[in-house]
Amino acid sequence: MAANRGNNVGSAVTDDQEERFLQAFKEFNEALFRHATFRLSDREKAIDVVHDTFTKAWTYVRDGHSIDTYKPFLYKVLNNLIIDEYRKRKEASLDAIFEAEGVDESTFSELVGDDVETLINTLDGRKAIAALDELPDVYKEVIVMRYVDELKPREIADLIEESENVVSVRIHRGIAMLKTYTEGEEAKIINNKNE
Amino acid sequence: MSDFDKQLNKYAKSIKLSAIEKREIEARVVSFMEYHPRREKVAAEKAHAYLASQPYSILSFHNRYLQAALGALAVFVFIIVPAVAEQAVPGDVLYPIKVRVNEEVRGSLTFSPTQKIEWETERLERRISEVRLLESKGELTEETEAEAVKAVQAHAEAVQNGINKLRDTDAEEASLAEVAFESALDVQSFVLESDKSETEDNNDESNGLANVVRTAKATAVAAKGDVTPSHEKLVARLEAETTRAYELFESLDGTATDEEKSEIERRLSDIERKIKSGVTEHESGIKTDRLVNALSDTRKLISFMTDIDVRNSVPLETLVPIERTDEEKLELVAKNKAIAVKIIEKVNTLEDGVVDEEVMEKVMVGVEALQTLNERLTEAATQKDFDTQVAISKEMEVMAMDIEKLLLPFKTEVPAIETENEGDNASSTATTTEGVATTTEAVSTTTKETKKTN
Repeated sequence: MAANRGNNVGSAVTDDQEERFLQAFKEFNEALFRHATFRLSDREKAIDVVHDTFTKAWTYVRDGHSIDTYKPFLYKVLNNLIIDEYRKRKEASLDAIFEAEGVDESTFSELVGDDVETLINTLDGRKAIAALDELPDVYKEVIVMRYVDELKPREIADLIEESENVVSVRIHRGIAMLKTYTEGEEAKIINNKNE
Repeated sequence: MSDFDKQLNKYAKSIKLSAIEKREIEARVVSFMEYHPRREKVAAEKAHAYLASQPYSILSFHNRYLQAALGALAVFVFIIVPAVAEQAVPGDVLYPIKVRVNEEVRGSLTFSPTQKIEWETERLERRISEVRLLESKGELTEETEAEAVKAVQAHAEAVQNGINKLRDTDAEEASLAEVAFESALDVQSFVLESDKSETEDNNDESNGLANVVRTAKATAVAAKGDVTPSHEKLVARLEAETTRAYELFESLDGTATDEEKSEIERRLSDIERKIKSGVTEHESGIKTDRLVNALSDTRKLISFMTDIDVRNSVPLETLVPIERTDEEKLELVAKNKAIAVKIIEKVNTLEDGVVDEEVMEKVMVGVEALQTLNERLTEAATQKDFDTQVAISKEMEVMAMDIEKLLLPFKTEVPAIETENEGDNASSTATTTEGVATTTEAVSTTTKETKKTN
């Protein structure tokens, strides 16, 4: 009887926080899992980072903080965890090459040519998805957020703490890379056949 | 929608958690939440668990005014009533709260056996004090007195049981508790005796109490264990008690007269000397009760300082008689001896036939006894035994006063001697009076024997 009353009173104090958290879990766990799967290409690892995302979020709530909007918060935590995961893997991929090239992402110059829509329309969907894994994560990240999570560039900019311009440039560049990659792969196949 | 969009969308939708995975991840998250509850919630639950354990928490009121009213009621019931009840005496509405609630609660908050013994002793003192208060107001009924007697008996038994129990686990501590209890009973005996002497009525109400206290003292003495506290323990306890006594003395300003303060100060220095002598004796391998007496005196002195009732009823000299210094003892011896010498001289110079023959026979027996005592006094002086000298000199004084009494009917022929009784105060007067009876009897017996011999 006393325990029940204790729970009731406890709930009265924290109902709001707990319910909102659980609601956010129900609402976003699938989307976060999808995002993580795209980014990490590892189902088990994706489950782990989603779990860690929610435990980190709960720890934040437990420490007395309040989360006004769960969606950006969860994506931000997830994104940080994925970056950590990448660091662990220490992959010397295209990511590192592009970083080494010091590409300036803060200009509109690339957006002046073919726009993103045009580029996308020319992409072979299935091939492009297969090529996603070949992209450096900075591009993969924004492309997944934009086309899988269906976030707007402004939302993505908030999440990854970059300007909206940088996000747009990355999306554009990522799609272009996918196109190049898929076309390159296609050319390779044709060449192989001809040979 | 582009092909890429469509394909990506389609592909994305195919990526989902299975029902098992979803349940598993949910279970892990919920479990994490349970093991890491919100700090506020933990605090709230703790607070509620405490409240839930209180009988009044079964009521759940949300009305602010009702809550305020209940809060005020709680303050009244749990703070004001008990505080007011502390002043209650038997017959008052709040007296049962004082005895059955306040005191029981306070008793339940004492954890060590020594504390419990001390608390029961204090309760005993409270009951006596209440009866005396009612008696002074003329409001003491037979029923109230009978109840008080029962209560004092019960508290005395509780103390005695506590000491007996403590003796099994810590005999030394028990013997210290015995000293404290006996001191408290002594103080109460003196207080009740003072009432008796005031009213001079043997059937006086407080007489019942006096009997209970006497019985308790007798029981305490009879039940006394063989173990005496170790020297170290005694010295440590004395250190603590004398420190308390000095602190109380320092805080007496305004509550005691200068005369009282000077008397208390004298007792404090007496106790200090007693302790010093006790320690010296211990170091020389001499076994005495001096330190135990010092502890008893300190307890009594503390009672005198803390209990206004005691202070107003019993003279400090009765409670803790002055402990004379060696110089003072020698002074007293010299004075008593001078009285004896004077009376002997007076008898020696008496002319024949002035005093009745039968009386003269008794006087001569007294003079002989004085001479014997004087020889013993000289012997004690050579041994520098000051206490024995004082005791003998007192006997001499008593004997001299007896002789003086015998000569009183012939005062026209025999002038009375000047005793220079410089108010060596009430205590010596009291002792003397008691002594007179005893010694007179002794003289009479001797006289009878003399006659038989003749």
